[in-house]
Amino acid sequence: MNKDPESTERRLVLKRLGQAGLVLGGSGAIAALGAFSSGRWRGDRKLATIADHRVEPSPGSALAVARGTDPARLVRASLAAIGGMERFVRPGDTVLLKPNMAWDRTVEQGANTHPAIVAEVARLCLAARAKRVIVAEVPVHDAARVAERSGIRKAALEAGAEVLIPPDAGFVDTALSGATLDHWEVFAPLFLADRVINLPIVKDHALTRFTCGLKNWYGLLGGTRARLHQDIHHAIADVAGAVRPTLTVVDATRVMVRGGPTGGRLEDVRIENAVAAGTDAVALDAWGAGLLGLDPFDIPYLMLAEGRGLGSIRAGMGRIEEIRVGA
Amino acid sequence: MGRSKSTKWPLALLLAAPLLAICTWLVVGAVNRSQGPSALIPGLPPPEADLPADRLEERVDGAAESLRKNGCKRLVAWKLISPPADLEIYVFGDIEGAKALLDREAGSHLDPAPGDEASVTAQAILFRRGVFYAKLIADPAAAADPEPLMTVAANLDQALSGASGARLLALAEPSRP
Repeated sequence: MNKDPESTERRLVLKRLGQAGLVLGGSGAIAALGAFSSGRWRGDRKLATIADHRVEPSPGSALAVARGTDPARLVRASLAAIGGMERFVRPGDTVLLKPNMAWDRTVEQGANTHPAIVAEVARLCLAARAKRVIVAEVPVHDAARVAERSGIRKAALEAGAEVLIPPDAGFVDTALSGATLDHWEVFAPLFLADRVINLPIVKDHALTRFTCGLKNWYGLLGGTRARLHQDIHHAIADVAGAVRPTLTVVDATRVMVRGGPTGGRLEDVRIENAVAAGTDAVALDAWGAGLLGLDPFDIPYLMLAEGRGLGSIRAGMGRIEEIRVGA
Repeated sequence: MGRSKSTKWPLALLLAAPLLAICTWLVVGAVNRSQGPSALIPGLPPPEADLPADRLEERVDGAAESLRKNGCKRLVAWKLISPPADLEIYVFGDIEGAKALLDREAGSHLDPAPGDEASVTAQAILFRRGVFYAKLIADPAAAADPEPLMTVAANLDQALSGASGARLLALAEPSRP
């Protein structure tokens, strides 16, 4: 009895298809098992956590403001008023400085932290016998060009600090445990630090009306930035709640009053000749908002940050005693 | 169960069709790219950034969301050598979007030219031409002589009013299937 050749061929094809399906299915199952056991499948990868870098609060003022024309002297005066760098940096510490160094702009354009302020803070850390001072940032514009044009790389290196920008280091998936951001890619140098000093600049901002210290932490984040701006006020509060700095020194030597955060026009930069230092990040942001004529209570992320216990808006408002430095 | 030669060829072509489609797509993309914004504005170097709306963060970070809300469809940026300056052209879906950005960045005082309306200083020229918003910022060190900046702005305005503007608009439109 001869077999029907078409029927035989069909059976052969079905058999081969079955075998191929088994091989593919088996491979898929093995891959899925591997991914599942590594945690990637379930999303329970081991996330890094950011240490709390704060020091014990002192009974003195929440912030000190110095005014004058020499940025380095303003740094020294404002820090001296809150206990000096020795209060914040211990011998042997690795200190991370986080300026705003995001933009391909010069010093006069007021988009980045003044290089003299970064350098002076680095010098004071080293004078307090810090082992290592790292200036770290994830610029928006071309990183190498920003580091040069902002003047920060040169000033920091001359002061004895290192400058780390991508691709000098990578990113670490980090738990933020916030209302909007559960975890995010954070620039790895943050995890080298025993002490963290925020060095923001006060600027107008198209989306949040102004930017200062709390928003400055965005400059340590990688990943898809568009998502960070979807629910920006909650996201800023989330990141600020995760990065608890030792100290904040606000550069208000020049204040970009329009066109932020990129700016560029000299007409939009007001010379303010001020530096504020303190440990209450919310108070310092509230003070910065005041320089732009804004009511800090109208800035949603400041309200959220205060609500999460990150500081006091009122402490940065009203009459704050200022130190006059030089002529 | 053999197939005749006449049935093999159509089958082969049918099977090869996806590969051919991908190759065609790549070639067309490469050709379009080579004719992209670098060739758009006469006398300008190739742009250092050419971003659709969903990638504006790469250039303006937090300002991206408000730009998108105002209908910004594309941002093209150049680094000029002579005069040393940064140039950005924002393409909006309508005039109102471009006006909103000019109003925000220029403040209350506007000049009648270049473009339909502008803000001109020795170091920066911001202007709107139709749905385009152009931002020309000189390096502060080179701001002492505003003439070269004015010349760039005038040429740019002319280009945006003509074929270059039409090409930019076409690039800003999302490709249709």
